[in-house]
Parts: sequence; C-alpha cells; structure tokens
Amino acid sequence: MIHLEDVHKSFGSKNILNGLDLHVEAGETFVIIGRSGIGKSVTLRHIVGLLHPDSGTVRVFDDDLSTFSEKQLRQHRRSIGYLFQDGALLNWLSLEDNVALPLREHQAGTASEIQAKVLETLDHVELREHRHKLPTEISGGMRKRAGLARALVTDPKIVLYDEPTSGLDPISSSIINELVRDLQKKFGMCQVIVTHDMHSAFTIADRIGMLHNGRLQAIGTPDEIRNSSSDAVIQFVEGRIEGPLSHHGPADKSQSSVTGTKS
Amino acid sequence: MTSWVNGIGTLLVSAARSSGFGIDLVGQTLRATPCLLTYRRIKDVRDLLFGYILAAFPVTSLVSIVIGMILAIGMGVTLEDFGQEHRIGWLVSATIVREMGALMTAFILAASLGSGIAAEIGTMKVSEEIDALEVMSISPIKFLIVPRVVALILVCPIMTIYADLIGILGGSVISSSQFGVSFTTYQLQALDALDLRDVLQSIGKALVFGGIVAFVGCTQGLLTSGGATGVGQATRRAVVVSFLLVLVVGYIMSWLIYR
Repeated sequence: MIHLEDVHKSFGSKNILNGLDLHVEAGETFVIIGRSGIGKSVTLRHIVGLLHPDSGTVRVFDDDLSTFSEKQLRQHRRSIGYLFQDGALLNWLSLEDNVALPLREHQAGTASEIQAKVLETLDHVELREHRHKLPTEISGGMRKRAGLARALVTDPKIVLYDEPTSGLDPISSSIINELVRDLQKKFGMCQVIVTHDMHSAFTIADRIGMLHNGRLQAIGTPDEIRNSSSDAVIQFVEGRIEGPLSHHGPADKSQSSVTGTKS
Repeated sequence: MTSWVNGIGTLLVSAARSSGFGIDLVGQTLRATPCLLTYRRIKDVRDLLFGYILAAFPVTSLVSIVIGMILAIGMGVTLEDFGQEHRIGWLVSATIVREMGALMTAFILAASLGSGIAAEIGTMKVSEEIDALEVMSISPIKFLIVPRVVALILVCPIMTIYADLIGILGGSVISSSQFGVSFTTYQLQALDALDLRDVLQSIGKALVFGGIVAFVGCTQGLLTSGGATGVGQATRRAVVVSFLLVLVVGYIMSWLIYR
C-alpha cells in the first residue's frame, strides 16, 4: 500500500533520507523508531505529499506521487489521516468544529449527517462531553485524541501518527495505544507510526523499523526487534548512552539484520 | 568586514525571497477569490470584518482626534499671524482627507491588525496547523488568506472615513477653544475644502493600503519558522515592511493623483 524506494532527501547540506526503502502493506501497523532529528517525521511527510523526495519514488495506493498535480495531491490526501505531534488543532474552533472541519470544507454530507459522524468519532476517542471546549482548555492527551478524531472522521484508508504518545503520562499513552490497536482491528487501516516510545511500539506494531543514517537499518516484528543482536537496535531499545547511535560512536553496519547476526 | 558583507548579503537574499513569496501569494489569492462565493467564506469575512473594526476602533479614534487637534493647533498659530484663523477647518480637512487619514489609518492597521495576522498565521505555521490544513486537503489560501485579505481591504476604507471625520472633529475642538472659530465656520470651511474626488481618492488609497497591510501580514506569517522567536520576528517584520510599503506606495499614488 505504501512503497518508498531509494528515497533521498536533503535540507541544505544536511542529508536526512539516504536511500530509504519502506514497504507497508494494507492492514498493517508499521512503527518507525529512531533518534530525534533522524528523519522519521520527514518520512511521514513524504507519504502524505507534504514533502517531495530529491530522488527515489514514493508510491501510495500504487500511485507515484511525483506524477501528481497539486489537485491530485489534494485528492490523494483525502484518503489519509494524519495525527500531528501536538494535534495541530485550530485554536479558535471547538473540538467539535475541529473534527467537523474536513467534512464541512469538503461538503461531505448534510449538516445533520456531519454532526452524527462527528459525534460518533468523538465517542471513539471518548471526547463527546468535551466537544464544546476549545483546544486551549483541554490537556495534551485530550488534544492528541481530538487530533486523532479529526484524522479519522473522513474514514481514511491510511493513518499516519507523528509521536502519538510523546509528552503523555503512562495512562494517557495506554489510552492512545488502545485506540490505535482498536482502529486496526475494527477498520483494518494501514497505519504508520513514528515514535520514541518503545513500550508503545512493542504494544501496537505489526512490524518495527529503525531509522538511522537515512535508512531503515533494522526491520522486524516486535519480538524480533526485542531479541535483535544489532548493536544499534539494542542501544536504542535499552536507551544506552554508549553505542553506534551515539554522536561519536561508530556507525552500525548492520542492514536489515535484526533477526540475524550483526554484520 | 566579511561578516558585514555576509550579513548584508543574507538580508538581501531574505528580502528577495520574501518579496517573491509575497508576489506569488497575491497571485494565488486572486486566483482563489471565487471561494468567496460560498457561504462559509462569506461568514468568515463578515466575522473577521466586525472583529477587525472592533479591534481598530479605540486606537483609531484616539489617534485621529489627537492628529486633528495637532494639525489645528499647528496651522492655527501660523494662520493667526495672517488673520486667517477662520481657514483652519479648510486646511485640517484638506490635509486629513487627502493625505493623512488613509496614511495614519494604514499605520494603525499595520500595527494592530497586520501584526496580529502575522502572529496568528506564524503561530499556526510553527505549530503545524497550516500543514494540518494541507493534509486535510483544505487550501490555506482559501481558508485563511482570502478571508483575512478581503476583510482588511474592506476595513481600511471604513476606518479611514471614520478617522477623517474624527480628525476633522478634533480640529474643530481646538479651532473653537483656542482660536475662537465657531463650529459653523469651521464646518463650512471643512466642507469647502473637499469635493467628491478627494473622498474617492482617499477611499482608493485606503483600499490599496489595506491590501498592502493584509498581504504583508500574511506573507510574513507564512514565512515564519523557528518557534516563538520566529513568530516575534515575523510580527516585527510585518509592521516594518507594511510601514515602508505604505509610505512608498502612498507617495507614488499622491504623485500620480496631483501631478
């Protein structure tokens, strides 16, 4: 469903993606882990067409995004939900109006149909009773859930999550994790999640990929990642200071070697 | 020396980039204006219009009345020397309606509303709300820029006419209290100084100034990067650039009108 092949992306002199290959199938929940500033969010932005690769191809639903006009890109994005780090809710709109926004702007039904859909979605994220509040009047966890409701209200086939549990207490994180798992079970959505939170990654992922040096250096199931012998993966999962991911540490040479031995 | 040259170079590149972006934004906004035919956008413009008028009303009132009083006292002292103090109304009215009204209103709107637009859109940019609109296939130009630009273009002439009236009123207070010119004489002189062409020129200038303030605010907002510091810088740049553009364009328009 999502295929990134040999994607390169630089900002100025800084190479962010360096031959990235990523393949996510329909109904799969794929979690991308990696250090801050390594290009995880940049990867998500390529999938939704907010960024374009310097070279390489990004294919979503079998369409090569580089061939799309701006109008086609807008159409493409309607099939994708995106949860931003802090929810990215519009501060002057209530939660209900925020969630209704994409439906109203695209005139996706009558006012009563939109209202019903919004309330149903707010029920999913348990925010119905807070629907009249402004984003500034609720907690960070609630903002993320409202952002998730807005991402889901258009019934997307793909949902992208940028750090869905960052800055949340463990209970709020678990609520989000539960929501993500429920969505996959109920609707079979294809989900790509960027996170640093290993507990969350192990809980929700079908597969996990570790991004390092602009590529996915390790891909595997949660168990495979947990038992990986890759120095980089071990360092990241265990949060060790010393190792190949440290600024001055040697680069990890392993490529897709999580299940096997270090190369 | 090298750092100075680098600094000037960076400034020029940044100015060229902002100018190019701003011109492109004007084109995109013009192309997107048919979106105003929808009820939702008309409602947005209406709400913004009332909000902008309310926000600009107190400061416009205060500045206009004081400017009118300053003009009256300055001109009155000179005219009194020639025994022509009854002409204060004529001069205050002509100065305010032909030049000062539109100019000072544009400055007030740049400082109060243009900076606010830059801060609002800049904050949305750094908190990914603009990206969120793109992801939802909602055009930020149609959703954010067009309503703000149209509302500000409409607010500027409305507030200019109001500023003209309040400024002339301020002058009348001084001319009556300090120079003994009756209200009736002042009003007759004020009306004598003007014809319809003056009023229409003032409104025309105000429309252009409103557009400048709106587009500069939106441009600086959309170019914001770097968190809270970036929002602060965008706000400051919006005010400075608006002031400069309004002055330059105002001069060109006056030259075209009177020469």
